[in-house]
Amino acid sequence: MTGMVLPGAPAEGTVPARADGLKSRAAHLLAQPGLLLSLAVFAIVIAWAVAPGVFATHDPVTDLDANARLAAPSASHWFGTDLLGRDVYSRVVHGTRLSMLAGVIAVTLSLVVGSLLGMLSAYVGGWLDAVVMRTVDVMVAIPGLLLSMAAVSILGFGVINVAIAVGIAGIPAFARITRAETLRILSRGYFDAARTSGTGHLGILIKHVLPNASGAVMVLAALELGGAVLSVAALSFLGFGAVPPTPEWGSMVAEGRAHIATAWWLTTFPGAVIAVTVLASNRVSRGLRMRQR
Amino acid sequence: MSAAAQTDQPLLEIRDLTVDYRRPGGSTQAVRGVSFQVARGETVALVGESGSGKTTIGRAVLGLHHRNAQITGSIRFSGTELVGLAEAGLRRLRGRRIALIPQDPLAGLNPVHPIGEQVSESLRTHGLATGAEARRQAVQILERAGLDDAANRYYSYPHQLSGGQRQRVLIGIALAAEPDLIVADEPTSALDVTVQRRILDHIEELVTQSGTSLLLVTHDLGVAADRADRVVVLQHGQVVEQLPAADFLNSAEHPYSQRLAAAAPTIDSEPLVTQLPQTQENDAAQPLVRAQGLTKTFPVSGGGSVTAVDAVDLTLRPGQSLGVVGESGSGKTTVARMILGLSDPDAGSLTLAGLGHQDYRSRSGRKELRRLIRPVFQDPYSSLDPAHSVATSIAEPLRALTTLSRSERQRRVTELLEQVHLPSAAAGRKPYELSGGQLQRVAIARALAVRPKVLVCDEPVSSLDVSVQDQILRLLAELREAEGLSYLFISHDLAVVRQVCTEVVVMRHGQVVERGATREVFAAPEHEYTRELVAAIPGSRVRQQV
Repeated sequence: MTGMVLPGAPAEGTVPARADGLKSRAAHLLAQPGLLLSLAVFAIVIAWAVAPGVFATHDPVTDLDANARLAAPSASHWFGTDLLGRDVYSRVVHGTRLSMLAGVIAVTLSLVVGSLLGMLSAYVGGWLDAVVMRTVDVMVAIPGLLLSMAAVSILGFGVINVAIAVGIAGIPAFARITRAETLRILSRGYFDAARTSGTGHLGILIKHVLPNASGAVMVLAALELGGAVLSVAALSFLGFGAVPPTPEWGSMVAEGRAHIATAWWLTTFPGAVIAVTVLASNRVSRGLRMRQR
Repeated sequence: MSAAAQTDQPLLEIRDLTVDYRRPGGSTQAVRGVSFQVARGETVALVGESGSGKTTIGRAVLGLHHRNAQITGSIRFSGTELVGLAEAGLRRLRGRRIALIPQDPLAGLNPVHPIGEQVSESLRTHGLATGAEARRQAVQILERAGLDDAANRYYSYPHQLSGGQRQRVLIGIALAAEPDLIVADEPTSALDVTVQRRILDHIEELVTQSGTSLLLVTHDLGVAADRADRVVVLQHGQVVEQLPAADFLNSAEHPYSQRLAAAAPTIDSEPLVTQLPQTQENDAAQPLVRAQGLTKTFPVSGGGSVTAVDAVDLTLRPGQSLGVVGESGSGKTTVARMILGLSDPDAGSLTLAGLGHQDYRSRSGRKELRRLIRPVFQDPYSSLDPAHSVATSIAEPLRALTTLSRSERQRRVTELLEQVHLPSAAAGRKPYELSGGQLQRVAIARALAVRPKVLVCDEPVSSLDVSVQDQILRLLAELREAEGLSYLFISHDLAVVRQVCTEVVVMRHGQVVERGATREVFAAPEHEYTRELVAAIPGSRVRQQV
């Protein structure tokens, strides 16, 4: 006795054929040239970070060209040279690893700590929720850069410490979005279904809350990556980060500042690379959000 | 609502209406060559399941179709062609001569304006009255729409009114300009049955008095049969049959209409479950659920508390199927949640298959109770985790409550899919790939996985189309016999309860007002409220006339 199947009703005995996922995804990508371009930028930046030697034309530290100090961009020095005659392009390429590493460390720290706090806060509720969220409110009340500077003063100078400081300032955003997502998930029927199926608290958090909250959190992570790279660059610019002669995007902008009237390329090219990376990260974040409807 | 003189031109004449929704990469035809007429003073019901195009037609008549919709064919309204009419022309007709009663009474009203102002606004817009006169007329209109104490409620905001009251305001707005045609799009499907009946009675009375035509868009076949002069049955955007409403439930000719009519549970559809013989063995058996003086109160924001469940007694014996019936706010879902251990009672005792409610607190007791008593929730789209495959969802209680190995779990999932009549290919699918009926089958399979004794079904079919609803109810009846299950069946729909329950408990304001064997309660309801509920079952009017 299966009950009758109406011609108008979806037949219960059949399931729709699967859409060709790979093909439709490729078509979807091709329809968005902006996203494609952003992904290409990301690919280049990652390649620079992984294998700077392959892309750089000169050694970033030791290759001092005494004949071409503060030379304008040319065929031999694409982004020009600095005061010591070092190739700016090669320094930008070699600086990628440190800048991106700092950005990734910062976002990972914000993501892990923030998401954990937000998830527990929403799941446990009560006083824990109150304490965590009010602390987050206080953190939000302090400008992020100021908070990072305070943290870096305590931790000590250096790019990794700067990254940790930027990561701390990024915790509130992740805590808030994960808390909101968790609350949404806890109000869905599958939360009750999981509880009545005997799944424990940890199981619910790992199997139900995490996968369903991850979409929104990933969108934020992509967005924050751009912001973190910018913040790390800003702190390096202020002198908290990389120690010369180590190449790093923010420090390079800072070093070129003194010669901005005579050698615009010292600040312009590293600055442009920072801007393009941040823009690409924002565009990818938007692409991720669109994919979630 | 007698049919108007046949010699007159029809008020609304739809001919070969086709609506295409254009999407990037193709288009979907929602309505395909539909033709029908509405005479002056006539009530025509458009019925069909989701995706039949009934709402799209209603919207097209008002010129409120979506921007992506491409309309061809003809909609003539008292001599004016509406297809291709400019927005300005439509605006002159809309509200003034063709009015809409929308589905959702909360979404239909602007939350930041007082309700009276929203009525007088429509009078002013159509140049029917101004200033104090508009206000005076608005109060009259609200009174006529059946809103009690309309003069004092003029400055009330929508959130201060109940769903039924809000629907009355919307009816008032629709009738304000005394239109020739009213399009009512599921006007009562968001309301409780007794309220639904009062609202429908009222619309009918007003329409009859003023000689207005009514185009009633509804998925509820009982409502259509009760309230319309003629019924237009739609399927896949096409008209399959047009017939007098009186014939619809009994003598439809087209097989699709017949099946729809047969699937709709009404006051005298054949019950799907049989009463177990009253043997001494059954009576002596330990009850699976026994609540005594069960009470639950919730704090209300701003102090005080509300008693959601007030000293409820109920007993579910092995083999029984107990229906808990009531309208929104009656406390029926709270009872279910306490039985499922999702909520703690404040007072009273709850015995569950020899264990007590307090056993939900210990690990071993909880495990045992969760295995014995399993839920089926209302909305399968929400109760299945979108991130998990069907097999993972079904296996969830197996992982948590049994010691089965991975391959044993897989075998059990295959077995369960077969039992709920789903193909084994469904196992690897994600919820978004399946239909609502299929998902509810998955939810039932998950409930059955650990071989429970009791299923607590909380409105398991209320979000499904009638034909799918019928299939799920049949499945539940079948499984009850095959697995020896007992059901606690929570529902607002008496017709459904009548089909699948052997015993019934009627709840109102947290209290049980009537209980007994289903057949007896429906045949001779004792409490006044039960009588009202039974009388409000759509479709009962037509049956009485036959």
